[in-house]
Formats: sequence, structure tokens, C-alpha cells
Amino acid sequence: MKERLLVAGSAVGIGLLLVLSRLVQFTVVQSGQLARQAASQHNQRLTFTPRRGAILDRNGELLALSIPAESLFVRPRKLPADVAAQVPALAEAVHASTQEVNTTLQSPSPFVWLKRQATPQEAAQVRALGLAGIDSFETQRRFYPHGTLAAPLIGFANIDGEGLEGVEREYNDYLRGASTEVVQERDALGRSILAQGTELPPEALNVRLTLDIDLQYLAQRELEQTVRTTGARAGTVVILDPQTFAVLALAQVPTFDPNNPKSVPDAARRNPAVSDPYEPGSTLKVLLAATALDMNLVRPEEQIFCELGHYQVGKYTIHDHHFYGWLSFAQVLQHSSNIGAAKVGERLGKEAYQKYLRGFGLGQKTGIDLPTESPGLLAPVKDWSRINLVTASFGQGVAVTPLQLASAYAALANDGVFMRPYVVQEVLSADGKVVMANSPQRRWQVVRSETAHRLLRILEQVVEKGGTGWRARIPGVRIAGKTGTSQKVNQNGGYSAHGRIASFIGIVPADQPRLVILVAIDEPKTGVYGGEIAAPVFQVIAQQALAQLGITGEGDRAVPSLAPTQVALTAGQSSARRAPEHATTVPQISSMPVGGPSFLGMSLREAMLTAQRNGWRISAMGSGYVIGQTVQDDPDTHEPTYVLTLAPTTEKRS
Amino acid sequence: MQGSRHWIGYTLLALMGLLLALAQVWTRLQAVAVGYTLSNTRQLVYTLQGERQELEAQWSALTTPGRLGEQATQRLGLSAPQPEQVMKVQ
Repeated sequence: MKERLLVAGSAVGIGLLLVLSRLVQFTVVQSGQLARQAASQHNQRLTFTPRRGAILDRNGELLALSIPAESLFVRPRKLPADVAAQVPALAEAVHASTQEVNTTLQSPSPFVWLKRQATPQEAAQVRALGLAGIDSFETQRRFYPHGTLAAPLIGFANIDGEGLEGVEREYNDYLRGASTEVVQERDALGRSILAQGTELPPEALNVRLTLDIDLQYLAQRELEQTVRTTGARAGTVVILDPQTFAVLALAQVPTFDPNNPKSVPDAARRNPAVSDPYEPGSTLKVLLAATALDMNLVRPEEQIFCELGHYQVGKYTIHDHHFYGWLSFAQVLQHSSNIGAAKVGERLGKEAYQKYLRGFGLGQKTGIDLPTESPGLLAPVKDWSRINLVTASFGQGVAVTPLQLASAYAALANDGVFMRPYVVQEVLSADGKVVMANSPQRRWQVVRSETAHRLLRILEQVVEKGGTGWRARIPGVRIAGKTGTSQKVNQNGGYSAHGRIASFIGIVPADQPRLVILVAIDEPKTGVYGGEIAAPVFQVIAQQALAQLGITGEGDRAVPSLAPTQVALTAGQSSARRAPEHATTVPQISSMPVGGPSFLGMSLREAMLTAQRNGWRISAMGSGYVIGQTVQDDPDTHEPTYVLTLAPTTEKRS
Repeated sequence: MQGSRHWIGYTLLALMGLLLALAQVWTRLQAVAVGYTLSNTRQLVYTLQGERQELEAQWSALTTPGRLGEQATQRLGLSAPQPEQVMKVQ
């Protein structure tokens, strides 16, 4: 018995010893290697790519964002034998031709894309077919909710989330965000187990532009309409804030839909406002005038003989559109005389003129934060002959981009200070913190402040009756502007017989500049002159833009006779939300007018219109219809003010 | 007597060891369960963020000035006010 126990005990002991030795082998000798093997089975290394950041306008309106999408792929070898019968349905689901789908399904590759960045609806339709061998994984798709609006400025990102044009390209590093690699445990089914916890990868940054989407729409709408009605080839509108040089709108025709950038050729996705220089024509005379005034070489009232329309410079003859004799310098600008400008240019000399032109930013990049900016063309001063100086005086032989010219005018509207234009206001983190901000950057003083003010006063005459830009006039608003009609350069280096660019650049309000608006229409068919084609576009844009910005002119179309009106609406409460039953609780303060007019029963709008027409001052309390009125003297002006009490009611009182 | 005391001590020690081992296994299982929850929650957050962005995109597309302008003019018959129709309420 004892022996048997001994044998059994020894066997168990040896067995335990073996287990123990194996344990030592696994946990001590081979621990490192086995731990690595286990980790490779349990852990997976994942790369997190954050969703591409959004692009917002200055008021936070979304202009570009990334939304979930699914990329559908095929493993052709796993497809069922009868897949051919499903091809038409598959083609319809992914919006492709049956031929394309057939080619995909018959691919010899083990893995082939069926459709990348499919919409959720497309993916759902494909899944509903229940085909083995077709699967998907989640990805993201760039979406531009406003379609073509500001497309050349915003640019677009490709299918891999890389910005290719515009802001998408210039700020790609911020928008794309940083990919992070994390190690996660996974179970036998491949599911992630965040047993060790994990930090969420940093989100990509958002970019807020200086662009105002409402102004952009306004500019785009008017530009498209003008290009359509004039049969023009193209058009550009640039709106700058002259106090900061922030780009408020940059509209172009033709444009493209960044949601489907491949639908147009590469050339159509350019941003001509910053990339394509053109000869500015008479709009450049303003810079000539600024130079001459700043150097005190001419006075606005000084008379200049305009040679009755023909001026010989060597073997060349300079023409005016009208046969002018003596014109004051201000009239030279008002009537846009080439000969008058040429004579002033000769007085300046090429060195001085070029120095100022470069001061206004010509011949160099403005430094705007957009890709593919052109410096324009301003030949070195040593290459200028007399005729070059003369023609440059009225805007020929010099090429500028629309943005350069708008910036030069903005400098005049900014007391002569040139700044760097910019389109991105700030870069924001996902929780709204400012990571990077573009503040207005003063570059230099081009002309004296006094010169700029004098010139703006002269340019107001261009928009008055008799000036070339009278169609840009807005009653009650002071506008300084200049028309331009430039000949296009043809492929041979000469001037095109028919190709013209009609342009107008205006500064509004001229006394307190808030907007610089450039309008350029390329090859209009119904006319050629800037005053005829571009000035009306400016007028509509400026008028509505000023209204949007809450800027009223002098004169005045607003209601100067109105006393401060206390409209009893709490913030965020619209009139539609006011409960009509409140009418029963509103006490009638006074139902009889105390002499003078009666506003009883009128709506606030009717009362305001009546007051406006008659020059009466009113003050209103409440909303709805007038149920009572009293008269009191204004403590400041001692003028009578009608104090109206309004209440919502289902019936108008009469 | 002395021997049985030792046995009781060893047994208690073994039980404690067993308890500790069980506790470790239990905590590990709990960690894995929480890990699943975390993983699912994170996926849910990601999905909800995506849905939110999709809704924001729809909102932006529906309120784009061009569409609103079209609705205002064609459906509601509105037009931009003339300068004399604009009144400033202070």
C-alpha cells in the first residue's frame, strides 16, 4: 500500500514538476516572445484620420463640411455565380452604366472599388440586393452645401480628402488634421475592446472665412444675370472691406460645382480674380491721378488741353472717344479722357509713376492667402519708353488681377494705407477656440491721407450726371468710382479688334468707405463700355449690400423723422410667434388722439409710413395694431412725438 | 493540535490565494465588458457626429441664399424692397 502510494505520489510529483517546468519555460524563458505573439493576436494598430474640418463664412454659415459616406467594394472571387442577373439593379443603385459595373465585377483583382464615397441611399440599395462578395466600409465625403457659390475661392478636396484648390488647398494642413495611430485590443471576432481606455484622436480644425455668404450670393446672382443678358464670356465681382482688406465676396462666372469638380475642365476651376491678369484700362487712371495729386503736380481744377481727340506721341496717335478741348483735371477723370491722362502721365515721368504703381501693389503678389496668385505685369522701368508711359497712363501695357486693382482702390478708401488682403479670418478648434487668426496687416502708406480724400471727392463726380459712371448712382449715397473699358490682348500680342472688358470700381459710401466693389465683364455683346455694362451691376450690388449691412445713405430713404421706436419684441421673438390672445389683456391707454392725426387701427408699418410721409415723429410700444395714442414733447428737440400703443388683435380697429 | 492549526492556516492562505485569483479574473472580465461598452459608445458618438453633420449639411443646403431667394420670389411672391420701402427702426 505504502509502495503504491509512493509510486502515485512520485507520478503526481513528476507531473507537477513537468507542469512547473513548462510554466517556467513559458513565463520566464519564452515570456518575451510569447507576449509579443499574444499581443499581435489581441492588439490591432489602428490609424484614426479625423473628419476633415469645416469651412465657415464670417457669420458661421457652413460652406464646406465632411459627412459620412460608404465606400463600396467588390471581391470578385466571392461573387455568386448568378451575379449577372443583378447587374442592372446594381448599376441603378450606384448610378453607373451596366457596362461599367460588369467591368468591375469581372475584374481579375481580388479587390476592386464599386463606388467610393457612395451616398447612404446608394449603399442601402446595394445592401438590399444581398450580394455576397460586395461590402463597404465607412468613409467621409466632402460636401459643399451652397454648390457653385464662391466655389473658386473655397476650392475643393479630392476623394482622399486632400485640398486641391482655393482655401481647401491653402489651409489643407489645418483642415485635414493629424492622423493618429492607436493600439487597441480586439476579441476573437475582431471587435475592439477599449479595455485600457483610449483618448479620442484630435479633431481637425475648422476655418472661418471673411466671406459673407449673403453678399456673395448677391454678387453672384447679379453677375450671372448680367453675363447672361449681355452674352458676355465671363465676369468677376470682388468686394473688399477697405478698413481691413478682408474679402467679403468674390464671385465669378463661369464657375463650377465643387461637389462634382470633374464635370468641368481643369481650366474652368481656376480662380481668375487672383490668377488671371488683364489690362485695366481707364480704371488705372485713378492711380495716375493719385500719384499726380500726391506729388502736387496737378490740381483738380487745372485745365488740360485734350487735343480735340487726337494726340500724336511719336509715330502713335492717342484717341479719345469724344473730341474734348480744355478739361479740368477732375473732368479728365469724369469723362475718362485718355489724352488728358497721357499728358498728366508725361508730367509724372516713368520713375515716379512706376514707384506709385508698385506702391499700390501692382507687379507683385498681394499676399492673399489663396494659391496660384499672379503678380500681374508691370515691366521694369528701364524697359519703358515714352509710349509705354503714355499708354500706362490710361491702363494699357500694364496687367493686373481684379484683386490687385480692388486692393489698390481699397488703399485709397483706407486713407492711403495699403494692406494685405485676406480670406481666412481665423482657424478654430472643434470646440471653437481660436488656433490662428489673420488680423489686418498694414503694409505701407501709398499716398497721403489728404490725397486719398481729395481723390475720392473727384471720383464722386464720375458717378454724377455727366460722368461716365452715372449708372452706378444710388440716390442718397455718396459713391466714388471709375469706369473702365479695356481692349483685350490677342494671341499675337496686339489688341483684339472686338474683345473688351467693361469694368467699374466703386467705393461706398465715399465719405465713410465700407465697401470697395469691382465689377468686370469680359466680352459683353450688348455694349462695351464699363459705364454701360458694369456700372449698373455695381449699382444693384452696392444698394442691396448697403441695406444688408444696415448702412443707410444721407438724404435719406430711412426714417429720420422717427423717434426711437420701442417695439416690444423680445430678442429672438418674431411677430409670427406672438399669441393673439394677448390682445384681450392689453389695456387701452388712450383711445382718442389728442389733436393732430389719428393712427388708430393702423399696423406699425402703416403708422410708420404715414409718419414718414408727413414728417411726424412716432414712438411705438407693443406690436400688432395701434389701439391708443398720446402726444408728448421730445425732451431733446421739443418736437411733438406721437406715442402709439399697439396690441395684437384678430380684427383691425377702424 | 499544533499540526491542525498549521493546516487551517495553509487552507486559509490557499483560499485567499484562490479568492485573489478569482478577483483578478473577475476584474479582467469587468474591464473587458467596460471596454466593449466604451468601444460601442465611441462608435455611437462617431455615428451621431456624422448624423449631426449630415443634418447640418442638409440645413445649410436648404437655407442657401439662392434657394431661399427662389422660394421667396417664386413661391411667396416677395421681392427686394425698394429704397423708399426700407424704414429704419431704432
